[in-house]
Amino acid sequence: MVLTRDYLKSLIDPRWQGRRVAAAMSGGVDSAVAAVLLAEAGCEVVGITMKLWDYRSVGGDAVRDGRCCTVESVVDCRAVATKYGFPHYTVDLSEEFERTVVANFIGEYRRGRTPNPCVVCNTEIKWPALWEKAAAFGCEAIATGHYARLATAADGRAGLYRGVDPSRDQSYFLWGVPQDYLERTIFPLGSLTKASVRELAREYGLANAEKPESRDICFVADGDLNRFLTERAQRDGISRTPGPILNRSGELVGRHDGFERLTIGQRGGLGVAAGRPQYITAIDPETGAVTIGDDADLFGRSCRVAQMNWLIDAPVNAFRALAQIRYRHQAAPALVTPMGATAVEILFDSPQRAITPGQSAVLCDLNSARVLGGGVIAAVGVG
Amino acid sequence: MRIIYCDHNSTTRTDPRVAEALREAAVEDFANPSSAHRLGQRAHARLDEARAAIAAFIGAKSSEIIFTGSGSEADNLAILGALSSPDARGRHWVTVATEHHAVTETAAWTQRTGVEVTVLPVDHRGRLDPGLFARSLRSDTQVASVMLANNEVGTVHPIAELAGVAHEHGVIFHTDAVQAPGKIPVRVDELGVDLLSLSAHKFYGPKGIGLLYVRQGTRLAPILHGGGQEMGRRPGTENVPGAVGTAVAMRLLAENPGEPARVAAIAANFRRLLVDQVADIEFFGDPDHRLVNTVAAGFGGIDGGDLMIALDLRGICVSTGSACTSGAREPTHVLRAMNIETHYANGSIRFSFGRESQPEDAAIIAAAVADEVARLRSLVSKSAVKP
Repeated sequence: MVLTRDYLKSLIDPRWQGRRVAAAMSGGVDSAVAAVLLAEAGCEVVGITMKLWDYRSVGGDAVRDGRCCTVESVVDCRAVATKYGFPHYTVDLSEEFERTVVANFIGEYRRGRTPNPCVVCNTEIKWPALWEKAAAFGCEAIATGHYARLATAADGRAGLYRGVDPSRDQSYFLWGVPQDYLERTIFPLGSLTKASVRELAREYGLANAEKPESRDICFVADGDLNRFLTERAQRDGISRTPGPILNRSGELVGRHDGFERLTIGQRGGLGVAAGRPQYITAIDPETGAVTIGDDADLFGRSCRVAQMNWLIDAPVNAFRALAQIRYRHQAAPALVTPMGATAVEILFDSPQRAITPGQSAVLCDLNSARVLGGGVIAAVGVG
Repeated sequence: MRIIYCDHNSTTRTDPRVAEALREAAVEDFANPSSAHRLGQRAHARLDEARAAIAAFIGAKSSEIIFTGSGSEADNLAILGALSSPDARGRHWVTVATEHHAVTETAAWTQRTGVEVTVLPVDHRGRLDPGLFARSLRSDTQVASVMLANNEVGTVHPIAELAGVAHEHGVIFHTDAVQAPGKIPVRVDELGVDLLSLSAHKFYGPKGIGLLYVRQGTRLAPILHGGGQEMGRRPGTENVPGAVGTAVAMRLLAENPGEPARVAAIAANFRRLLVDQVADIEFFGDPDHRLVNTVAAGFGGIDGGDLMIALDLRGICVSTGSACTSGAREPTHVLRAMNIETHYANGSIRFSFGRESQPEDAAIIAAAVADEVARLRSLVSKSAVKP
């Protein structure tokens, strides 16, 4: 796709031209390019960087990690804003972030589940809390650098669709955003590939064009989950729960010193030798028991999903859809059976690897790439 | 969109006449004042002239003026220099909870090195009780530091009285007078202090130069080490252009004695209009002893950071708390020390008028504030702010 001026302008819905729009800016390439696209399309952009955490509360070391939490990012954002002539502000949402994202993150591990903090952040912070600020500044919409698309769907709603670049699509993380907010959201990058975005960044002369991707959990800058969870456990006076390691027949094959650091699909690290790779297949927080098995034991066809957020009229009857159970999972065809308004059971056509409680399950239309809704995997192997 | 600058307490525009004097000194008398050759002598002479002029403005002698890199550095030199003086009689010092960070952070640092510091409380108006101050001075107290005027809320302390009390107890007295020039008189002979800090960029002078007045006979140990400039008290090649510019800035203050009253009238008008147009405001600071250019207010029930941004989007530049505490959510240490209720402390804004201010600014800013506060309050009152 040739990135002509007209094409780039067409990426922004014309109803936002001339309107004041809050562009969430993280300091990274994607949100920077998104902000510039908006400015070039004639929106009145207000750049906002959210301060979500600091080293005092999450541990780690700014100097050693080479990342000075928000400060460096703010400098990058300011440079972009000054260059393209729009104001940029920092807002402190660290209290809300700690209360929602961090609390959920720690809580899930303590319940033997594997959390998805980026989902919680989008659901609780990026949309509701950021919107509150954006509204306070007279903004009529929020824009982010997510690779996802919005388009008016047949049912009249702002439909959420997968981004065109399958290697970058981030619609998986957006299932929890309430429909009302989607009506006031802009995703400038959804129809672009990552390669195009980097090209634009270079063209726009953005300093962060060559910045590497940030893949880690943002508030664990050193990537050391163990350190973070241990420090928090100490702070909260909670000790790890040791327990037995069982094989699939329920026989005791070893002991572990805390299920709170473990996750399904994890390989090895348990000191159990079996001649072939062993994976964690289940964690029982009640008993502290961790079950291990072969790679084949990780596969399953069904799960129950709770806390469903529907982005279409909540269905009553069973229907077929594509279901994605992890960010790096290829969405697979399944039969979805609603169980009340906020839960579903998913039965995949073929077995899927390492379906994990705590992860998000996101449903997509079989044909149109529209995100229908999503929820949190509550139990595996039901039905 | 016309930009209305209402943040003079954080900094001021360098006056074009100051800038010209600075440029000229930088280009013409550029040599190192410590050099023995004639060009060095000329530079030294310019420096001396500037120093003498500055000294005269504040009622001091030339030899009592030290040039530093900032007001913060002057504060550090005064306090740490006094504490490490060879004449020091003790390692205890006294200050106040509402001082600028240059003093409060110095206090925290000295505590980590085993020095005892007493940090005195203030009342709801930011006033220090002179009796309490007197009682805090001990036989091992070396120095006391109380600012002349508070940068956030404008409260002016009775420095002459406090300096007198300090001297009765044999204690060296320092005052951070950074916010004073151009607003209230700064005469060391009247104030009776031993040490006094100033910062040029607060009174339309250049940025990057500060002043420390050191009464003759007060011994300070240097805190930076190097060449023997500033009579061995502060090393580093002297900033001749900065010194020249600072002297011009002070001269301009003296030549415009009516300016403080002009600015005060705009600020007072603004305050009146605010009271008329906005409900639920608390004004901070001592109403009777204060900087008259400063209106520090807490707007009940809203976030000061949001209001500041909303005003900026309308072209009005103000600050929330002080310029040094950006991005943080908590009320500033000053408001906390004054025991300001969270309802108002969280919604605090400082409006500080000065040379940029025009009479019509009072009405324009007040109307904008009324508008934005009403809007923010209506957003808050909806329990969940939905789009």
